[in-house]
Amino acid sequence: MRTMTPKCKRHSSMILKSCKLHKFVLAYTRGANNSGAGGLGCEILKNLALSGFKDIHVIDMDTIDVSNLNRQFLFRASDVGKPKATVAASFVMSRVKDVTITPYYGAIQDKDQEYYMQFKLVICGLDSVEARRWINATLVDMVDIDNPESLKPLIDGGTEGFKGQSRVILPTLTSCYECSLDMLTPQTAVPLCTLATIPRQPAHCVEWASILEWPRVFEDKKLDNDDPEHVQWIYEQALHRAQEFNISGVTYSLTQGVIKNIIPAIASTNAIIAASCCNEALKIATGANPYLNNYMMYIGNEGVYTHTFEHEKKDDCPVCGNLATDFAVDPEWTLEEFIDRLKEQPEVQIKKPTLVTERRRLYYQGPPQLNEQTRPNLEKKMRDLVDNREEIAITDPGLPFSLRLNVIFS
Amino acid sequence: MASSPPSGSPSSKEKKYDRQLRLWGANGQNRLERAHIALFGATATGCEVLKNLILPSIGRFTVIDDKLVEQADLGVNFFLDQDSLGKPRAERAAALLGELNPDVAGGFRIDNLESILSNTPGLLDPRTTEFTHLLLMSPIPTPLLLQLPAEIPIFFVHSLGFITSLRIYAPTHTIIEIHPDSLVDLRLFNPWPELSEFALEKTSTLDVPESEGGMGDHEHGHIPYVLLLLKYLEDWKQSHQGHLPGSYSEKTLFKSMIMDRMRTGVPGGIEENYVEAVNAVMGDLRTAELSSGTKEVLNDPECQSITSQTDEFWIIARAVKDFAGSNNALLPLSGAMPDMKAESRGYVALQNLYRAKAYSDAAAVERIVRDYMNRVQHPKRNQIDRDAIQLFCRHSNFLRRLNYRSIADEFSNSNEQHKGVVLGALGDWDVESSLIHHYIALRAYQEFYTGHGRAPGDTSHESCEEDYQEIRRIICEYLKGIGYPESLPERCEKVAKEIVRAGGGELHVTASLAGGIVAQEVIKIITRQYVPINNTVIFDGIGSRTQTFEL
Amino acid sequence: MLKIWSMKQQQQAASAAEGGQKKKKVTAAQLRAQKDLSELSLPPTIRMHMPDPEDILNFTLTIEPDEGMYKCGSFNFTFAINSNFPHEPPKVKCTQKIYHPNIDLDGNVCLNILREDWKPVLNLNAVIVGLQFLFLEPNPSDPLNKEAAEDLRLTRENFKRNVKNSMNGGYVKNVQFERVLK
Repeated sequence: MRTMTPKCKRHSSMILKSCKLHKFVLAYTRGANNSGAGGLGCEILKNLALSGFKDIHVIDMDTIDVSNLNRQFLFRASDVGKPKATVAASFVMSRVKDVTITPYYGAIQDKDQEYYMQFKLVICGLDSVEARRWINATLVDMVDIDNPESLKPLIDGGTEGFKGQSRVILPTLTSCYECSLDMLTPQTAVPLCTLATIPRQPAHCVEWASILEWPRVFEDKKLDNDDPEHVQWIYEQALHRAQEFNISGVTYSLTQGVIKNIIPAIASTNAIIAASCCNEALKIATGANPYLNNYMMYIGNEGVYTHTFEHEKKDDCPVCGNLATDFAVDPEWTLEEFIDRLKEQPEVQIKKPTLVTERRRLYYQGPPQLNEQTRPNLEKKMRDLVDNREEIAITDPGLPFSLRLNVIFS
Repeated sequence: MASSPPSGSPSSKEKKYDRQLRLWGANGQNRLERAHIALFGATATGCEVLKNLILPSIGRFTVIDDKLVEQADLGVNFFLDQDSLGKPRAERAAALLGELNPDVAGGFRIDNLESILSNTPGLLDPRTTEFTHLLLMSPIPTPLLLQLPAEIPIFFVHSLGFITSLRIYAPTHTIIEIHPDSLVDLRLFNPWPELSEFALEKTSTLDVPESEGGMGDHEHGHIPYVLLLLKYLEDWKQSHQGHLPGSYSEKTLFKSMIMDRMRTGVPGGIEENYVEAVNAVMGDLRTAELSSGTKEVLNDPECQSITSQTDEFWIIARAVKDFAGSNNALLPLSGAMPDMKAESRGYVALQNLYRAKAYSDAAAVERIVRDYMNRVQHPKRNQIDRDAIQLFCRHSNFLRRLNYRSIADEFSNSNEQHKGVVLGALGDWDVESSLIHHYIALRAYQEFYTGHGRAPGDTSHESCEEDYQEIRRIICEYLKGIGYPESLPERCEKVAKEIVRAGGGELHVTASLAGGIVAQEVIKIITRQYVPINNTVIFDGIGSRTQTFEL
Repeated sequence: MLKIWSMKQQQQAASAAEGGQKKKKVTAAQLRAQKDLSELSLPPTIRMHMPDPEDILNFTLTIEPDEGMYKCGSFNFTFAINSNFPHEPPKVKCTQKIYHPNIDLDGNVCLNILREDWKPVLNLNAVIVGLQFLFLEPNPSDPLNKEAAEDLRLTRENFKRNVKNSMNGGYVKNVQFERVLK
C-alpha cells in the first residue's frame, strides 16, 4: 500500500519514558504515554498525556508549516516556523496537569543507544522509510539477554488519505520493520529516456524539470523542494515543456505533489492510527489486555475495513534474522587460521568469506584493491585485530545474506 | 531566478488545506464549508469528532450540552481545562474547540435533546433548522432518537471502555466520486468508428517488415498498445467468423498471436508495447458491463418519473440511462487512458480521441438533461451545470446509492431484514471473531439506559452484579425476539461484563479513535465522495478490529 | 512488560547463548555492499577504484570496451550507494562528456535497472554488466541523447564516425566532446 512508502526527509518520533501510570484503575482511567510531533505525533502526545503516562520525550526535526494546520491541532497560524517538538510539548503540558514532556528538536539519529535505553517503549509517527529502518535496527541491536530492560517495544503508525496502519514490534521476538520492507509498493519510476525525449504525462514534464533540467542549469545548487522560488521555476519549466508536447494538466499543485512526493493527510485518519498505537502502548504498559499481534490496516475509502493479522518474522531478515552467535576464538590464532576454522563449521557453507568489524575491514576477497589492502591481515593475530566480544560480520557466496559472530576469546 | 511574476501559485487557503484538497478537491471542500454540525453531548468522544471536522474546515458547529464541567471530565477530555471547572461544558468545549481554526464559526447552547424536542422543536424541524448534520453522543434514550427528523443525517455514537460503535442514518445518499483506483475504460470490444479508423490507419503497415517497405522498427516499437490490440482483434475476428476472444482459452491464444507478431531483432530483443498489449489482454478485453452500483442507481424509482421536484442527480442519472438505451447499452465514455509506451505525439493523439468521445457523450447527456428539465419546467433549468454533468458521465459506471434503514426499524423487533443480519452473523462460521456480540451488548446497554436513566455499572447506584443480570436478561429477551434458537452466547456475556465494568465511562484513547472513525464517515457523507458505511461500524480495542453491519 | 520478557527468555533458552557488553554493528546497507563488492567478477575490461578505501559506498568504475563502436575508449563512472541500499539503486553518473544515445551530456545514464526496473535482488554486478552492454550495443529506440540516437538509427556509418571523432575530443554538431581514448 502506497501509504507506507513515504520518502520525504521529515520525521518525528515519540518515546515513552518510564510509564508511571498514576491511579491506573482498571480499563477506564486516564493513562497515557508519549510520542512525536507531526500529524500522528500531536495526537499521540495528547493521548499519552490523557492516559496517565507521566514522563514523555518527543523528538522531531521539523518546524511548523502552514500546510500542517489542517490536522496538527496543537499548532496555530502564529506558530508557523517554530519547532514542532517544542510547541507541541508546551501546549500539552499547559492543558494537561501533572505530565512532563521533554522536547528535542532534531533527528532521532542524533541520539545514541544509551539515550533510548532510558525508555519503556518507543512510539513512532515517522514519515520516512529511512528513519523507520534506523530506529528499528537500533532497537533490535539494543536487545541484551542479560538485561530485560533492554527490550523496548516499538509501536509504529503511518497514514495516507483515508487509510493507515499500526503495528507492534517486539525487537528480536516478532516481525520487525525490516522484515516487512517488501510489503512497500515500490515507487513507480518512469524511464529517464521517457522524461528526456517522449514525455506523455504532466508528471513526466515535472520530473524532467526537476531531475534533468535543474541540475543542468544550476550545476552546483541543490533543488530545495520547500523553497517557493525553486518550486516556481520547476513549475514554469514543466509548463513550458508540456505546451511544447501538447500535454495538458501541469499545475502548481501537481508540481509540488510530484517533487515533494506529497501524501494526502487528514486529521481523522491520524486520530484513528495514533489512538490505535496508544491503545497498544497502554495495553503493553499495563498488561490489562492482550496487545496487537502484530499488524492492523485501516481502510476507510469504501466503508470501513480493518485487516488485523500477524506479520511473520523473516528468518533471513538482515536486521533481526541473523543475530550474532558466539564463537570461541583463540587470541593467538592468525586471521587465516580463524578463517580455516570457519570453513570447518558444518552448519554453514563458507568458502570464500569476506570479514569486517564495525571499525575495520579484516579481509576482502575482492575487488583487487581491497583484497591487496587487507591481505596482510591474514598473518596477524586475532588479538591484534579484534576485541573480546566484538562482532565480526561475514559475507560469502555460499551464504544468502550474512553471518554475525561474537568473538569470545578463550 | 523566476523572472516572470508568480503565476499559478496557490492561495493561502489552498496552502493550508493542501493535504486534504488532494483527496476531495474544491468540490468536496465547498460542501464541507457549507455544513453546520450540531454536537449533542460535549463528551470526550464528541469533542474529538468535532476537532477532526473543525480542522479541515466545516462551516459552523454548535455544541449542545447541559452539564457543568467536573474534575472527571478533565481526565478524558482534551477540550476542557482547569479553568473550565464548574462552568457549562457546552460553553467551554465550544471555546477551546473554536481555537482550532479561525475559519470556522462556533457556538453553543446549554440545553439537551429532550428539552429541545419538546420546547424548541423548530431547531430540529427540517423546514427551519440551521443544522445540516447531527452528532449524537450516547447515552440518549431510544424514544428521543426516534423523534428525530428523517431529512437530516445523524451519527449516533457509543464509546464505552475499549468499545465504540457508530450508527449512521441519512436520507438516500448518492455518490458520484467514490475515487476508484482507475476510471480507465478502453472500449476495446466496442470501439467507436473514429477509434477503429484511427487504429486501422496507424497500423496499416504494422506487420510488413521494414525491408519490404513496411513500418520501421522505431515506429513499430512505439505504436500504443491500445492500437495493437484493436488491430489484432480485427485480425482475430476475420479468422473467427466475427467473434471476439472472450473465453480464457481464446484470450490465451490471442496473447500468443500477439507475441508472434512482436519483432525480436530489435535492441533488447523485445518490444515493450507488445509486452504491454499481452499484459492487458486478460484485464482490458471485456464486454462493457454495468457495475452493480450503477444498476441500482439507474433502476431506482427516482429515475423513473422526472418532475419539477426531482433532484439534479436523478435527472442526470435518467439522462445517462436514456443515453445508454440508445447507445447499445454503453455508458458515456470516461475518457481516461493509462500511460503506455508511445511517442509523445502518438500518445497525445490517441488520448485526444478518447477525450473528444467523452466530451461528445457528455454533451449528448446534457441535451437529454435539458430536455427533461424544460419538459417539467424544472426551477434549475436555466442553470445547468456542465461540469457537474461531465463529472457524472466520467464516473457513470461507479455510481452508488445507499438507502439507510431507519433507527425505528432497527429497534422494532419485527424488521425481518434486521433479524436476518443479526441471525446471519450469529450463525456465521467465524462467529467467534465476529463483533455482532458487541452490537447485541451495546443494544442492551441502550435499552438499560432508556429504562433506568443511568448506565449499567454506574456504581453510585446499585451493585454491578444486579446491573449485569439485568443486561443479561435484556440480551436474552432480544435474542428470543429475533428467533435465535440457542442459549446466550458466551461472547455476549463477556462483552456485557465489560460494558458493565465500564460503567458508562469513556477512555480517552477509545474516544480519540472513535473521533477519527466518526469524522471520516461524516466527511464522506458531507462531501458525497468516497463510500460511507451502511449503517453500523463497531470497533473493539481489545482485538484491534472493526466490523460493519447493516442493522 | 514482564510477559514479553519471559517470551524472550524462552526464545533464548532454545538457542542458548550469553551476552556481554554491546558493540556497534555493521549496517545492513554496508553489509550488502560488502557482499556485492567482494563477489564481483570483473572482466579485464573493467576496473574499480575507491578514492577513499575506508568508504566502500562511493567508488569509480572504468570501462574500456575491447570491441564495438566504443573500442579504445576509457569511460569513467561514479557510483554512490546510500543507506537505503539495496532498497534504492546505486546512483551512477558518467564523469565525461561523451556522444552516446543512452548517456546525456550531463552524464545521466538511461539504464532500466538503475531506475524503473531496479529490485533489491539485483546486485552491483548486474549494474556493471548493464553499463558495459551500453557500449557494446547502444540502444537508439529510447534515448537520452536524441541527436545521437537519430544519428545511429538513420545513418549508422555516420554515427560510427561521429563516435570516433567524439572520443578523440572532436566536435559533433557544434558540441565538443571529451577525449576519452586510453
